[in-house]
Amino acid sequence: MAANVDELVVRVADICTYKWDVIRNRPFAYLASGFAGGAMVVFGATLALAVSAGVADLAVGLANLLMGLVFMFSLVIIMVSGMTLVTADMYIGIIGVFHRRIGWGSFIWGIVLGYIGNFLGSMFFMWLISKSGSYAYWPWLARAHAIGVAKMGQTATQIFVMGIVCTWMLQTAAILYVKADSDSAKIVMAAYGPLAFVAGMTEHCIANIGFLALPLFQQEVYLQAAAKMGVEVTTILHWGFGQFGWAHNQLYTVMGNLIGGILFVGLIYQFVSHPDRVRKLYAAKNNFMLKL
Amino acid sequence: MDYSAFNPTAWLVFIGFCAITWLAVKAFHAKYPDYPGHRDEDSKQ
Repeated sequence: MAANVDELVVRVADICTYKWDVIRNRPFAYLASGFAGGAMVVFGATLALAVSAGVADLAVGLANLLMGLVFMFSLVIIMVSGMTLVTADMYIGIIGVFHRRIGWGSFIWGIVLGYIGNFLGSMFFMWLISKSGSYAYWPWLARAHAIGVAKMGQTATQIFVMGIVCTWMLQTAAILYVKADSDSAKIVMAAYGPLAFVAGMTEHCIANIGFLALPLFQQEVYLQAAAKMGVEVTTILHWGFGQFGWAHNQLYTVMGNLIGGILFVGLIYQFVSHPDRVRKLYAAKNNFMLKL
Repeated sequence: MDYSAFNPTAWLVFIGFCAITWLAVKAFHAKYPDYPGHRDEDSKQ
């Protein structure tokens, strides 16, 4: 039977102890697990690009559905393998702070280290993809560029709110993964997160690191292909701040993602749990670490 | 300001979120000083 909400927050606090023990004692192992987690996210992004090229013109929403369906196993493989995805772990840290497992400094350091690992994995994997021939054909070049234009062309507020929505959905799935007991229930819960945030057209900082870097890595190839096709290119993407900038999207996505996961998942589950019942659970416990 | 790195709406909401989160933890610990009733080895460090 799945854990109730009181048992759930205690499980999450135990996971927090495990994760921050790795961060404190083996930071490079945590960085490596973040690298793997970041790459696993963009496994999904790559598949999403592969299946959605050309589909957007056929039926409104179909490309989003296809992207979500192939993206959804990214969180499953991250959670089952025990790797790190910072946007799935923010709620863990804040519940750990409530349970006095870690302090604010450790919490912030863990988030920063997780982000750095995820950044390196996401960026490196997409750089590899940009060197392939498979995605250097017009439908995929055009699709990657169109996604870049759509995501990086939004205003700060538009990106920010969809960043909040993204981790609200994703970390709800991640915390339900912890709540579930059977393997099949865990897989279904973890799959829901990426399906929802990708099909819902939200903004996820780790996915966007690589997803939006790809059209930038390939921009020269795209421009050459567009010239051959006789397609007029009206928008040039760039790495900096400002409209159509990678950093512009990343900044507001990170800010939104922090709010969605910490405020709307971590704090809410913690406040819904009953302090007295949680204390009783602690009184009966003798193991305070849960490995994922 | 829509494409600035210092969009006032987003930054004000974000600062408000940081303040709310910090105050929520502070108020919770003040209300339940012995919560969760056990301090494991990690928290003693």
